[in-house]
Amino acid sequence: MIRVEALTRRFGRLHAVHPLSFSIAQGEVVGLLGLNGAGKSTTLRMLSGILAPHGGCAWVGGVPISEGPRLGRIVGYLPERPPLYSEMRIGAYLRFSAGIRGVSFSKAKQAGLMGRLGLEGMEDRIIGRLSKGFQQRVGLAQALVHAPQVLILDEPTSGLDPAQRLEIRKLLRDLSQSGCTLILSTHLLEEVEATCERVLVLHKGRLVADEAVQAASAVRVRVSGDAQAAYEALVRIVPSAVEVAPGCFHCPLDTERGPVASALIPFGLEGLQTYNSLQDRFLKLTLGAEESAQ
Amino acid sequence: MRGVFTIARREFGAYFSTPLGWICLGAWLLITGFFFGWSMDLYSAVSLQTASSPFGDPIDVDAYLVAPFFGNWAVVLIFLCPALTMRLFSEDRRSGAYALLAASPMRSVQIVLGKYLGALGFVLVALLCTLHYPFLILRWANPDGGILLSSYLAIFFLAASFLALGLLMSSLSSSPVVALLSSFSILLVLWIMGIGEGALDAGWRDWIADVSMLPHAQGMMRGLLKSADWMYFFSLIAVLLFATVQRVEMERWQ
Repeated sequence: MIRVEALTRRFGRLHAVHPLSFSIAQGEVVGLLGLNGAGKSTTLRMLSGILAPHGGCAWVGGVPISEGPRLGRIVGYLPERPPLYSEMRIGAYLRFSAGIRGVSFSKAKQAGLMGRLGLEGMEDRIIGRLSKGFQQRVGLAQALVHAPQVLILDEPTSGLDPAQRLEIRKLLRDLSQSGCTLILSTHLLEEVEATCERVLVLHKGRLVADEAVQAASAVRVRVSGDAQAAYEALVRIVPSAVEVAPGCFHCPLDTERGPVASALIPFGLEGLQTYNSLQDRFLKLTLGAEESAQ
Repeated sequence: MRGVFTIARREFGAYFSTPLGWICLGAWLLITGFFFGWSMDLYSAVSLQTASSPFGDPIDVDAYLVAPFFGNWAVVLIFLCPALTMRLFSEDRRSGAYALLAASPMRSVQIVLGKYLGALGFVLVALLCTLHYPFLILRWANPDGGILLSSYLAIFFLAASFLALGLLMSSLSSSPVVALLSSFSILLVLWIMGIGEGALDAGWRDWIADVSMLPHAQGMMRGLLKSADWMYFFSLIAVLLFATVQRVEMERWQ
């Protein structure tokens, strides 16, 4: 559904996104993680057709991102700051959002969408007078108004209280089950753990990890020698071990490290690390990279 | 075109859902009302003088009432139009609402046209609200109906050009105040160029007469509907809107 090939973007001399490549299948929910300035929002803006890349290309639903306006029909985009007209009423705003996308938006559709987002009975409320949480919901509603195939969300639960976050998580899961592809950027790692199947970690514009969310909590083993022989040796001790990349294996968190180390030393054991959570993994990938750069 | 009208309707409606539109409309009616009263005073004074003189010719209502009345409207538009256009792009950009349009299937040219038509619609309403003045003039005096009509056309074309310039300035800045001041300054310079041309030598005078908006509008206000004036306004508006489209398109690359 989304294919990104060597996408780059500069702002003056600053390389915001270095050649970036990944792909996302239909219905997948992918989290985009990174510290501030990692290039997450820039990547999302390029994928939604707002920002032109300086190199490489990407296709969303088969449409090249260089054809920005065509993307608008299949992509729903919620930027970090919801794109709201504060003087408008919610109903009028949603009808306007549908109008510029050329879709019909009946009263029934409007009521259905507003109901899904917890905005029922609020169509006459002025957007500028709503709380931040409700404004965020209206922002999400405009991204869904044309039933997009791909939903790109930048900090979708920002400003929401815990109960509202749970509602949005449920909505995102429902959307994913209905075949909508989701890519969301957030600083809330528990959000990613609860919502996403896969996580992409960006650091200073580079992709430093692309892995399943479950794999973030694991014992990671890396060998430099014969990967196939090392894997065979490993599964004799840990039958549930999986090879995630050539020479890189993941084992469950309760794996005993001693026997694994002894078995893999002959195959050039390079690393044996335990990541207890996505946060642990994320901090090692980002702050660890900062420290090694220093 | 449906998308263009959707944006135009929103922009037009936004003037009436914020104080800006009501303030602009109120100020416009107040000032044009003042100029109407002032022009009537001038006309009455000249009429009295003429009536008391046994050799006085009948006074020209178009020269003493219609021309000063509409002539002052252009000055009001220099203040009004930048106020109407200042927020069209810059406020959207500042508030983040522009992302809604940028991520939609609308092309830059449709977005620009929609915003422009929204502002033009407001100006049309403002002009329609002044229609009682020509009716009063027609009731009390005997002006040339054609001059009244062409004066309205001149004012409309002036406003349309001012709006196109204001829209361009708004697309260049994220601050409505900067957009307001820059478009106001440019219009003021063009206006001063127009009224100060008499002090210059013939070569400059011809050049300024070609470039400045005022001489083209003054011809129309005298009832002269020359194709050169029409072409001037159409070309000017087209160039300014084209520049705005290019600016909006460029934003994706910046």
